[in-house]
Amino acid sequence: MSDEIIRAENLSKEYVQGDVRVGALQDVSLEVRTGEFIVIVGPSGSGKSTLLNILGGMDVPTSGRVIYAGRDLAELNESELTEYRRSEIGFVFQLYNLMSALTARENVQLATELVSGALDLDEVMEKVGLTDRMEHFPSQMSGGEQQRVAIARALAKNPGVLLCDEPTGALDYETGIRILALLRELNCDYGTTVIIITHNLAVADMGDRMLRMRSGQIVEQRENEEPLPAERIVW
Amino acid sequence: MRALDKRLLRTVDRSRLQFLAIIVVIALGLMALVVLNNAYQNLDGAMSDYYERQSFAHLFSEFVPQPPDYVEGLRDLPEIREAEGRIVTDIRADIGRDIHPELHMVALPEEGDINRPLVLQGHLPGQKDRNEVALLAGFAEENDLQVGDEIDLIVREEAIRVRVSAVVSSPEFLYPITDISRVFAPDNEYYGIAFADLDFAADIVGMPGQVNQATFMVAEGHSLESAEEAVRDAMGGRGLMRVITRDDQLSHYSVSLRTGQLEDLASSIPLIFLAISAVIIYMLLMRMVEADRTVIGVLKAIGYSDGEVLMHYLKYALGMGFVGALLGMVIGHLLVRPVTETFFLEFFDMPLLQVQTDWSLIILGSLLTLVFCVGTGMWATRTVLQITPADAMQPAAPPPGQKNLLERWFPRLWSWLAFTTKLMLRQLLRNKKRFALAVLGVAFAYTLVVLPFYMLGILDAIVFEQFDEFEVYDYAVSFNEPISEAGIAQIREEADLKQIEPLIEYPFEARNGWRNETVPVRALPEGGTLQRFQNARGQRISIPTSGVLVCEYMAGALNVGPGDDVLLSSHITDEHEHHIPVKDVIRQDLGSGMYVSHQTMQAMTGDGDAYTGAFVQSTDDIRYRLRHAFNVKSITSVDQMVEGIDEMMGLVIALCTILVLMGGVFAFAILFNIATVGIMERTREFSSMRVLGYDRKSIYHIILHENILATIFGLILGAPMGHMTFVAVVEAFQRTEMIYLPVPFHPGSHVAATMLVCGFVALVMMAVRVKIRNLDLLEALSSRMT
Ligand SMILES: Nc1ncnc2c1ncn2[C@@H]1O[C@H](COP(=O)(O)OP(=O)(O)O)[C@@H](O)[C@H]1O
Ligand SMILES: [Mg+2]
Repeated sequence: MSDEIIRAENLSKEYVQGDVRVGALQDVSLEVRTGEFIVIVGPSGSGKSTLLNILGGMDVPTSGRVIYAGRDLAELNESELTEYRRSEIGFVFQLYNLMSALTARENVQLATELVSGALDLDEVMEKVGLTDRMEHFPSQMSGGEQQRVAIARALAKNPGVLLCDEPTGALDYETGIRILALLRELNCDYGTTVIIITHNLAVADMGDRMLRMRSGQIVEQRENEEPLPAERIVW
Repeated sequence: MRALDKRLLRTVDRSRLQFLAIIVVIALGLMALVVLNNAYQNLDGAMSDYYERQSFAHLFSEFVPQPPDYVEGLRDLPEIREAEGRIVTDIRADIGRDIHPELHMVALPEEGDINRPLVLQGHLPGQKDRNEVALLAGFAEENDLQVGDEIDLIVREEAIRVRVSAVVSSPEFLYPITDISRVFAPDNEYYGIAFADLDFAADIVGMPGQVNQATFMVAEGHSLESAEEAVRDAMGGRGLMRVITRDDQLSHYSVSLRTGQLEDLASSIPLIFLAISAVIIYMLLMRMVEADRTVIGVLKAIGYSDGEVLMHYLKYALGMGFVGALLGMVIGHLLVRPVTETFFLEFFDMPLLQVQTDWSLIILGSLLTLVFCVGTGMWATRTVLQITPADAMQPAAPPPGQKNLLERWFPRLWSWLAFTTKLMLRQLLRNKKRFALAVLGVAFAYTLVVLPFYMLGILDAIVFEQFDEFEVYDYAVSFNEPISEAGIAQIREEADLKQIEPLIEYPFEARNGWRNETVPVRALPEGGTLQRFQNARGQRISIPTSGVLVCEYMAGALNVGPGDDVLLSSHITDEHEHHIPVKDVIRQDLGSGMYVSHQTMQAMTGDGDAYTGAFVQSTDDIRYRLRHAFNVKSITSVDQMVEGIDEMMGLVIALCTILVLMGGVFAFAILFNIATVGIMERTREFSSMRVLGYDRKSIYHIILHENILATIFGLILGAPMGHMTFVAVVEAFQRTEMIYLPVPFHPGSHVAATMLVCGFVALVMMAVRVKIRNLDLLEALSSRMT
């Protein structure tokens, strides 16, 4: 398929801890199309984060491979992999992971400084609705605001893919909804491919596609003909 | 500015004191590097220039008067390039004061080259106008004598009027002493150096056509020792008293003792400071990287490369190194001149000294800082490479919980302890390396602080023990011509002296097998009380009827002990060797000697009662009473010597204060950083405690107790460490023929050092308290990031 951006083939990941082997991923295959909005759901420990980390070039599979825009990640060397994370991937973490010593603007700068084709910082801040919070430090912001900064940080590099690991996990209902709406909006406006992880089944309806994971495997895939707008999700 | 650099600056700002402490240690190291090396190079350079320009002799020999062509004949020795005869004698001078100061008169041939005085003012005495002397600047200044003034030389019951023709400086008297007991404080008031023309001096001292000393320049390609041996062989049997190399010449010895110390300090102190700062930087960065695990993961996830992340942390080390080095080198350069002038020109007469700064030290300093700071920085942050971007998602693994030694072995005791005590002990046993470092830090600071106290204590011991316990006379008198018992009685009467003990002293050659040394042998009356002795075990010893007491240095150099024989010979025994049994080995701090009874000496010399000097006890100033006793060559007043040393103590105390302060800075830098790192490490633990209801005070107490424990161990370790360091320093510098210092364990110093170190720890704890107060412990819980 010509608009395919990521293809994962037979990914397996095993963690060895002492004598115990944990199969975090077992033979997972997946294709992601450019501009797609994918929601991954599944219980805790089912391998969602592991999958996302491998797709984002932050972890390597025990077997199987990831092809990004025609290139096999396994064949990239250390600096090419860094370059991949730098220009192709935007990551949003559950716990925001902002630098407490930097203001909102500076946290975003941290990312924009890295790439040449970065989006305009003020525009991005406006987009995430933080124009009047730019000079605040993380400790002076609410969780939702912090997560917006984190999203701005991921987005500002203008990456091909936004990977979000439980971006609403630490937020209350209303704030969570707003963050999801924001992600969807960015997906539409910039055409950025978005993959988000959640253990909240209700969120599944808002994606173009939903993947359900259990015990390291994808047990269900569903295309949504009519994705639900975030504002209408109820949980 | 890059966002990461902003983070760096804010982090630094948040822990200002901690970074400042490290910067100060680095700055002190570089300051020491610049000041000490420059001072050393300046002094050493000035000394060599001076010696070169004025042809400072390589060898000196003393002998009973001989015609000068005898000395000139020694030029034929292949080892000798140049030889000059001269007359050196001690006389007195009437300069219009009650007490006539002693003059050490050096009479040089007019055409000579060796040991030429450097004229500061006027002209050297010559044959044209014979009645002239040149005075060494120190004495002239102290006594307000100028070129053109007239003074009387008192020689052989005669006063000879001379004109001061010059004020000079001399390579032979950069430090104007001729007796080792003066090594700590020369006496420019009562002891002067004068230069006269050889023929003139020969006439007035009654040695026409003769000389009693020779100076030599060694020919190229020959060592001092071989030349010394050659001269000794050639002159042996011709009334040779002793041959010394310039290494044993007192002025040179004193100057090179200081420059040698300076050189050693210059190469060790900066490294010690830098090493300490490296250790602290290592701890700090290591801790920082560990605490920043998530941050590093995030940075890598965002797309920062290993190199960029590493550089972020290295910049801390680089920054501290840069600021510290810059500060240290700038201040150092400003201090070169005052330090050189205060600590060296005050003592040494170095007219050629130019205070210069060696700019290559800047390169050396920068390189050293770079190596130490960046090297340790890289070593400490190497774990950055092991952190993966996925770590951004993983909360740091809790440290492995395990019952500690105390818990396993003494469960009863453990269960009885308070919770905070348990927490402290657990932390301590879990992080043994850091605790060990804290202990070492205290021990090191203790060592630094105890050293100056030891130094003061030892000086005190030398001065007061020496003069209160061992040399209890008030005056030491020496005669021009040996005198008999009757002569002594006459002096006693003339000066109305309570107690006078005559002595006989000559330089001897002492031999045991192939080992031989030149040593002054002093004969004292049996049952005398004015000079006392103590053996190495601290027991009082009196002069034995037969046999000899040997000082520790000589006993070592000749490898003799009680029961062995030494072979003693001298020009006074006509080079005949006498076997004398060693009775005991005695302590002697300054100089080295051997001691016998009058009887033993007389048996060796074959002379009857021919005393060369006497010790006198008197509460009156006998220098005044004996001012007309013309056979008296010199009178040394112990009181006055002690006074001089006391004066110099002020400077020593200043130096010691500096050392103590540096010890304090060290203690602070090390302990404060260790404590801070300890807090950083346990922020979450402490936060949880706060949430559980513990207040800041209990958290402070945990840290306090840890530090007290570290301090106690540090003190226990520091006491022997300090003692041993001092012993090593003394062994390196002050175990020579000239100075042989005992190093007793000095409880007073340890008490003082303990108190000071505890004071420093208290200061650290005050700073830690502020740190804890300012720490937002709850923030640590609410967000994972830093
Ligand atoms: N670094 C790791 N070391 C060992 N086991 C791990 C590691 N990361 C994840 N796992 C294990 O792999 C499985 C999948 O984890 P994860 O992908 O984080 O699940 P999810 O994100 O769906 O909750 C879990 O059983 C987890 O314990
Ligand atoms: Mg997860």
